[in-house]
Amino acid sequence: MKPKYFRDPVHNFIVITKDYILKLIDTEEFQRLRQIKQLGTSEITYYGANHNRFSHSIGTMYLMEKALSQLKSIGVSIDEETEMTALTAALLHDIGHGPFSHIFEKVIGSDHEKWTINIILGDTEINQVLQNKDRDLPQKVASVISKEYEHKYIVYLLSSQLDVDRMDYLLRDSYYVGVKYGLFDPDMILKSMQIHGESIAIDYKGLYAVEQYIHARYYMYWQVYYHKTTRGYELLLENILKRAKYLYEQNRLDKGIDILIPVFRKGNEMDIKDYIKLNDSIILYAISLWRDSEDKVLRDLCNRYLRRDLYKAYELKEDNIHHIGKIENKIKEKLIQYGFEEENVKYYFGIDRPSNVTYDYYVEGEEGEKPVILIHKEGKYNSITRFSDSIKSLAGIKKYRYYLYFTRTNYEGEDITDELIKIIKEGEGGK
Amino acid sequence: MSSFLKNYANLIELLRISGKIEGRKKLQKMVYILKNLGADFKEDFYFHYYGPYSDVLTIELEELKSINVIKEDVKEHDNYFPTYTYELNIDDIGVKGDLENYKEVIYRLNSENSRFLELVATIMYFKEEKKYEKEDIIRKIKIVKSDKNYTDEEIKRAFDFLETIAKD
Repeated sequence: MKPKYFRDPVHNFIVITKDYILKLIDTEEFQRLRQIKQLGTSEITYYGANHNRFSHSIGTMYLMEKALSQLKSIGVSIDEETEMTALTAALLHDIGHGPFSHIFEKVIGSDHEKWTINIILGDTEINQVLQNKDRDLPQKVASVISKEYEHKYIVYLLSSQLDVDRMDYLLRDSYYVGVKYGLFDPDMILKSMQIHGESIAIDYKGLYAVEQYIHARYYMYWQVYYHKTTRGYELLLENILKRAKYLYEQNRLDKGIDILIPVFRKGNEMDIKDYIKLNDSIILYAISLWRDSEDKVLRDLCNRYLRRDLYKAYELKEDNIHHIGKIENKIKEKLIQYGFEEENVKYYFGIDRPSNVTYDYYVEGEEGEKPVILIHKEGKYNSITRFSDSIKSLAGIKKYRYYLYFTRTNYEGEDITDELIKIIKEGEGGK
Repeated sequence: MSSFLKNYANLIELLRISGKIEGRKKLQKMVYILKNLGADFKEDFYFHYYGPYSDVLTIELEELKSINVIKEDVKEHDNYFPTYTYELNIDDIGVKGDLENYKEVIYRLNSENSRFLELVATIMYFKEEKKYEKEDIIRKIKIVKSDKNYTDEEIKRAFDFLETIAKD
């Protein structure tokens, strides 16, 4: 086929020379990724963060191709079938993401990895393209996603503590968010890759590039992924979807849009054809309609969302987490005093804990818990923390932040922030 | 009860019943097996290199440690990777889980080692979530756990073990 050139802001030219890759990109299911933002609600904090899963998926495939080419250049034998499986898995690894990814998953109880496999194996255009190439290809690609593929190093390349997925999203997110600390040298990491047993190791010459990558991951976690404003905005969106779902179940959801009915009715059991119709724009359209809902709470939450009237974030001190039950009760009482109904106060405050966040930074647990990044030096292989003091100290850092989120205003727009902060402070003091 | 601490109720209950659990990997596999038997655990698991694994559970343990609800004993080893032992630090923090029906299973799980529980959890994953037949499960175990060199006897014992805990 005639090579197809994609101009990518992170990797510059990405040249597609394989017809099945181009056909996959042209499918309805893959094109849908253009409508799903990579960072969900982060744009509320960093307005540049508008990139989508479409570009990330192509970038991931590009890095996978480079990784395979590096391994071949050092003598690793990779047959055409394995390469095809690896490239396709990299391209399709996020195909099952729903609108606003993790928030949506939380509300409907779905799991994007399961939907990725459903789309690869189900009655879809993607499945058809894969089958036309090789009847067994859908199963092989799905087995990479579910980490059962026989060539484990391919699974490592796509999903481990140092993989092409993370490498692309750190660079891409950093570029679009506009921060520089997510940057590192991907070419040096890729050039240092080799196979050890069934997994991937990095030659010692690439140690500093990997250090840089781990630092980037750490900074991006704190500055972007776990940013308190973004997390608060996610909570607001989650509450909107929960309220809409509740109203649907009570047969009280006015301004309903047909495309969302299977979400509320069947949740994770919805038909694949209905699932692939969903994207971020559908949810935003629904919110625009619901801002005029008859339901006071839904209407109020949607207006807050569209006006960027965010919850106030208050960082709780770890030592005071024990008092949290009392603090929550006091907040509830206060909100009721300010006009919120007892059954609805739950939509106006919440706590965010680190385990709610899907991103993480590099950690080393015990042996057999999570594969570490392996470094190869003079015939010996060991964890990166053996070679790098900076990573050793970073991997040992266990820092957690707990945020209490609450509304700044009541239904009438009266500012109640100071009142609420006052009772939280009293609660923290054990009163 | 605080809605916040409620998230950890059964994890705390598991430690209360077990007394001590030696090994983070072991704890992971215990929670996965109990969850699949029907116990109320909210943590999502996905298939990892060492069997079903939950990132959320790992962070929850760190959280409970950081707020002093659980105690973590770290034992350093020559092979560099430490092992972690967990037990409750504060007995009553106002949360009450419900694992009363799983007490016997918990005792049995806690008396096994993590290598064996890794095998049991992996078989369970293939059986319950992937709906594979027994022959396929054995074949898959040999692929995904090739580095572990599980013997036929171990695999048979794991299948038998699963049947007996399902009956408990």
